[in-house]
Amino acid sequence: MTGAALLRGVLRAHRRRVALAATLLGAHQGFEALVPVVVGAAIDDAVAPSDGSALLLWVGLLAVLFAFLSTAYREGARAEERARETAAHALRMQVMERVVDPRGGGEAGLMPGQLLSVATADVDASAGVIAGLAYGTGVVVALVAGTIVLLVTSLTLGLTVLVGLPVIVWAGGRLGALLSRRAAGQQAEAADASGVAADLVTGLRVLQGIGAADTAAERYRVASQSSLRATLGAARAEIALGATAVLVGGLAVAGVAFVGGRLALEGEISLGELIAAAGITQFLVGPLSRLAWVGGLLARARGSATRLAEVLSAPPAVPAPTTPTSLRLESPPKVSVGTLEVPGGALFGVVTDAPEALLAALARESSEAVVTVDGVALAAMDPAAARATVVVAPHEATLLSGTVRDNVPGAADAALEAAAATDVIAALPDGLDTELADAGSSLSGGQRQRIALARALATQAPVLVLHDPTTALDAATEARVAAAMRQARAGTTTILVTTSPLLLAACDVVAHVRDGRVKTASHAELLADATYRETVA
Amino acid sequence: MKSLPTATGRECWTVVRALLRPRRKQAALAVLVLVAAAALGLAGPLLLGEIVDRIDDDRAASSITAPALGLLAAALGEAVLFALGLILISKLGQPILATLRERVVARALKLPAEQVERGGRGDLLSRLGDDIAVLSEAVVEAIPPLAAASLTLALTFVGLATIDPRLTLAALLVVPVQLWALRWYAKKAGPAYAAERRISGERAQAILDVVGGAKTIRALGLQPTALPRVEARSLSSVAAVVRTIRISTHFSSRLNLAEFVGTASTLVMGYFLVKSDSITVGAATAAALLFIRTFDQFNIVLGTIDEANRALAALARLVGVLQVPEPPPPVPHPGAHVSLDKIRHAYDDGPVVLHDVDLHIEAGERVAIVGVSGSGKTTLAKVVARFHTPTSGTVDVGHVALVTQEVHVFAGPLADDLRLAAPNATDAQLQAALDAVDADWAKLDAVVGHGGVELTPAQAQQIALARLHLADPKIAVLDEATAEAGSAGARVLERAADTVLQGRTALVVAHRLTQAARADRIIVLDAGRVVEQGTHDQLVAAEGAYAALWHTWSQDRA
Repeated sequence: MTGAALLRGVLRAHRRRVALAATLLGAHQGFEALVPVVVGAAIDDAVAPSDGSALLLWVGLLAVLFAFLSTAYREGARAEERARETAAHALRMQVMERVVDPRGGGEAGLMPGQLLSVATADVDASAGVIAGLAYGTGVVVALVAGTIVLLVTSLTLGLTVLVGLPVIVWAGGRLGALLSRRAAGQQAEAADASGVAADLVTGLRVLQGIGAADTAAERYRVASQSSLRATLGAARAEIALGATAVLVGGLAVAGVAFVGGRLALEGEISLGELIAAAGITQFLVGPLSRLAWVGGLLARARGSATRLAEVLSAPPAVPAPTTPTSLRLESPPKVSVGTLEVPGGALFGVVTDAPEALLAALARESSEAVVTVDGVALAAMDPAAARATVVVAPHEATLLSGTVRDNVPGAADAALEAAAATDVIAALPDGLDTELADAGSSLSGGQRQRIALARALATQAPVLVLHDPTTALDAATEARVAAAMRQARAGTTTILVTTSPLLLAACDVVAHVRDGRVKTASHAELLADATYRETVA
Repeated sequence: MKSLPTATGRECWTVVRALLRPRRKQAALAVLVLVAAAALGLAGPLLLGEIVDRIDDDRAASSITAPALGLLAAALGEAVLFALGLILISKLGQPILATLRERVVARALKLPAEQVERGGRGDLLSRLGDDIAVLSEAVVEAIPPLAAASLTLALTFVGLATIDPRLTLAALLVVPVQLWALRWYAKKAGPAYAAERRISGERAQAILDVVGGAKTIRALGLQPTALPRVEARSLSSVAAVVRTIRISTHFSSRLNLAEFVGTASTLVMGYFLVKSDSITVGAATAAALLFIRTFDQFNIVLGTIDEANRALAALARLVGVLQVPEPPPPVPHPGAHVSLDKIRHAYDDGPVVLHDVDLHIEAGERVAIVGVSGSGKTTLAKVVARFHTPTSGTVDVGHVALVTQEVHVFAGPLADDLRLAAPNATDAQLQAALDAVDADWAKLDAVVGHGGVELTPAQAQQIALARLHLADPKIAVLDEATAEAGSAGARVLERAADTVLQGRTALVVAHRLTQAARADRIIVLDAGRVVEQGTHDQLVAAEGAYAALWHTWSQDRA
C-alpha cells in the first residue's frame, strides 16, 4: 500500500461527509465573493442616487447573503472536522490493530516513541487530506466565482484579471519560493528536540540516580537551541510567502483600479461595477494565499500517509498459511522445537545459551525453527490459534494501565496464589481494583513480575512458555512459586526457559542446550556437569 | 502526591511577562513596524475612493494614474513592512518559547519520579512533546497573523475616521456584537480546549501502553482488553475536538453577524452622509471597502483562534510543570559515611513501610540489605539515595548515586549516554569505564537506544554500572541492579558491580544472596524493621531469618 492509495481510501471511506463539507465550504466562499457585488450595487443603486427604498432592499439582500454564508461556513467546518476526526480515529485503530496483530511484525522496526508519533501526529496529518480537499474546494470555488463575476461585469476587466492575476501569482510564487528556499537551507541542522526530551524523561529515574538532571537539561538546551535556529529559518520562509501574497493582492487591486478606472471613465462600466471589481480582487487575495496553505496540508498528508502505510503494510513476522490446519487437543500436548522434544503434560526446564531464538520460534515471532504441537506445525495453523495454543510470556513484565483485574483476565485466584501475587494485591489500596498508574511503574519489579506471572498462568494455555519469570523475586518467594507451579499447570504442558535452580529443581526434566547439543536429564543429575552448574549458580 | 498541575491564565501571564520584560524594546519595535504596515494597508481603500471620486467628477483618464501608482507603492510598502514586522515577532517569540521549554524540561528532569508516574509518564511526555509542538506552531502560525489582523481591525476604525468620524461611529456598532460574541467564546473555549489537551495526553498514554507492550499483548492475547482502552480514549478525543469546533464555529457565526451589522451600518451612514453632501460617493465607497477588507482579517482571527486557544491550553500545561516546586537540593556532607536515624516512612496516606530504622555505614563499608519482597528494602535504598525524604527521621549522606533494575539507554552515540554521568570525561576515561564493567561488546561511537542498536537488559545494566563508575560518587546504592538478567547474565553484572563498587561506600539490595554473602555486613529487613544484622557467617550461625533464606537459596545450586 502506498501513501497515495491510503489517502484515496480515507477519502472514499468518508466520501459523504467530505462531499458535504466541500459543498458547504465551497458555497461559503461563493457567497463571500458576492458580498462586494452587493455592496457595489448598493452604492451604485442607492447611495449615489440617494434612494432610500433601494437602500432598504440592498441591505435586506445583504442580510440574506450573510445568513447563507454564515450557515454554510458553520455547518461546512463542522462536517469537515467530524469527517477528519472520524477518519483519524479509524486510522489510529488500524495502526493499533496492526501493532498487536497475532502475525507479529507490527512494530515495523519502530520504537514505542516513534509508533506513538505515527499513531498521533502522522494519523492526524494524513486525515488532513480531508481538510485539504474541503477547504481546497472552497478556494477553487472562490477563485472561479470571483472570475465569473468579473467577466460578467466587464469582459475587458475580467480578461485583465484572468490573465494578470495568474501571472502575478506565479511571479509571487517564484519570489516566495526563492526566499523560502534560502531560509530552508538552515533547516537541515534541525535536531528533533522533542525526541530528546521524551528520551530523557523516559530515563528520568536513571538520570536522577546518577545526579545527571542538570547535565541532561543542558543536553536538551543544546537540542532546543539548534531547533530554534531551524524554526527561525522556517518562519522566515513562511513570512516571505505571506508577504508575497499581500504584495500580489495589492498589485492586482492597483491593476484593476487602473484598468477599471479608465473603463468607468469611458462609461463602459458603472461605478458600482468598478467597486465590485476592486472588492472582488481584494477578496481574491485571501483564497489565493490559502492556496499555499492547502498545498501544505496536502503535502504533509502525503508525507505522513507514506509513513503510516509503511506501518500498516509492515510484513508479518511469520507468514499466515492459506488453509490453516486446526488442532484438536484432548490430552496435554507434546511439543517439539527443532531438536527439543517436550513430553505432553511435562514441567519442562530449558537451560540454553540461545534463549532468544527458541522463544521467538515458540512465540511465532520468527519462523527459523520448526515448532510442532502434537505433530502439527504451528506454521500450518492460523497465527491467532497458534498463539492461543502456545502462549509465550515474555520476560519483560509489561503491565497495561488499568486495574489489576484488567491485567489478569478472569483474575483466577489459583493463578494469583501460584504466582505469590496475593500478598501484592493485599498490599494495594483497592486490591484487585487498584488502578495501575503508568503501566504499573509505581510497583516494584518483584510486584510487577508476580502479577505478570499470574496473568500468564491465568491463560491456562495448553502450552505455556515462561522466560525467567522469577528474576526479581527473593529466594523465599521464588521457592513458593516453584512449589506451586506444578499444581497450577496440572494437565497442561509447561516450558520454563530459565537459569533459576529453584525453578529447575521443580521441573520433571531439564534440557541443557549448548552450541546446539541437547542433554536431557533431571536438574540434580545435570548439576554434575560443570558448565551447567556454572550456568545456574 | 497528585499528578502534574495545570496553571491558571494569570499564572501563565506572570511567566510570559517575566520572559518578555528583557525584550521590551524589541517588542515595541515589532509592534511599531506592524502598525506602520497596517496603516499602509488602509491606503488601498482610501486611494480607491479617490479614484471613484475622480471618475464621478468625470476627469481626464490620466487623472487616475497617480492614485493607481499610489496603490502600487502602498502595496509594496505594506508587504515589506508586514514581512519585517512578522520576522521581528518571530525573533521575539521563538527565543522566548525556547527558553520556556528549556526551563520546563529542566524542571521536569528534577521532578520526583513518583509524581511523574502518578499522572502517567504519557502525561509528561505529551506536555513535552505535543504541547510544546502546539505552542511552537502557534508562535509561528497563529500569533503573528493574529497580531497583524487585530492591528488592521483597530486601524480600520482610524481609517474610517479620516473620511468622516461619523462613519467610525456607525462601524463601532460592531463592537457590542463582537464583545458579546467574545464573552460567550471566552467562557466556553477555555475549558473545552483544556479538556481537549488533557484528553489528548490520556490518549497518548493509552497508545504508549499498547505500543510499548505490543509483544506482551500479542503473546498473551490481551488485544480484547488493550484495544478497547485506546479506542475509548481515541473516541473521547474525537468528541473533545468536535466540541471545540462546535464552539469556534458558533463563535464564527456571531462574528458574521458583527460583520453584517458593520457593513450595513457603514452603508446606511454613508447613504445619509452622501445625501447631506458631507462626503462624496467615493468616500462612501472607500468606507465600505475598508470594512469589507476586514472580513479576511476576521477569517484570519477565526482560522487562528482555534490554534491560539489550543496554544493557551498547552501553555497552561507547560507552566503547570514549572509550578511543581523543585525539591530542595540535598546537602551532601563531604564524607563517605551514611547516617540514618529513626527513619520512618509512608507513601502519602499509605501504611508505614519503614519503622524507626537506624542505619550507619562507615566510609568504605559494603552493606547488603536482604528480605522478602515488600519488606521495605527499596524504600530504604531510596531514602539513602535521597530519592525519598522520609516522613520522619534524619538523613546524613555524602555524595551518593543510585542504580536500580530499571534500565534505559539514552538515544544517540554510546559516548553521549556515558557523558551524562561525567560531562567532561575523555574518550579514554569512557573506555576505561566500559572496561571496568567488562562491556567488551560496546563501542563508544555506536548509536544505541531509540532508533539505534537495541541492547539486551543485561547490556543496558552494564552501561548503567559504567555510568555509576563515571559519576564517581563516594557512596553507591545498588537496588537489585543485577536482577534483570537471569542467573547467567547476573554473574557478569555482579563482577562488574564488584569492580565499580571498589573504593566506595556501598549499600546493595540483593536477592541473589551470593552478592549479600560478599558484603561486610548484612541487614535483614522484615515488614519495615531491621530484624537481624551481622556478617554472613554470623547470621548463618544464628539460624534466624537470613539462615533460612540462605538455605532456600543454596539448596538447588550444587
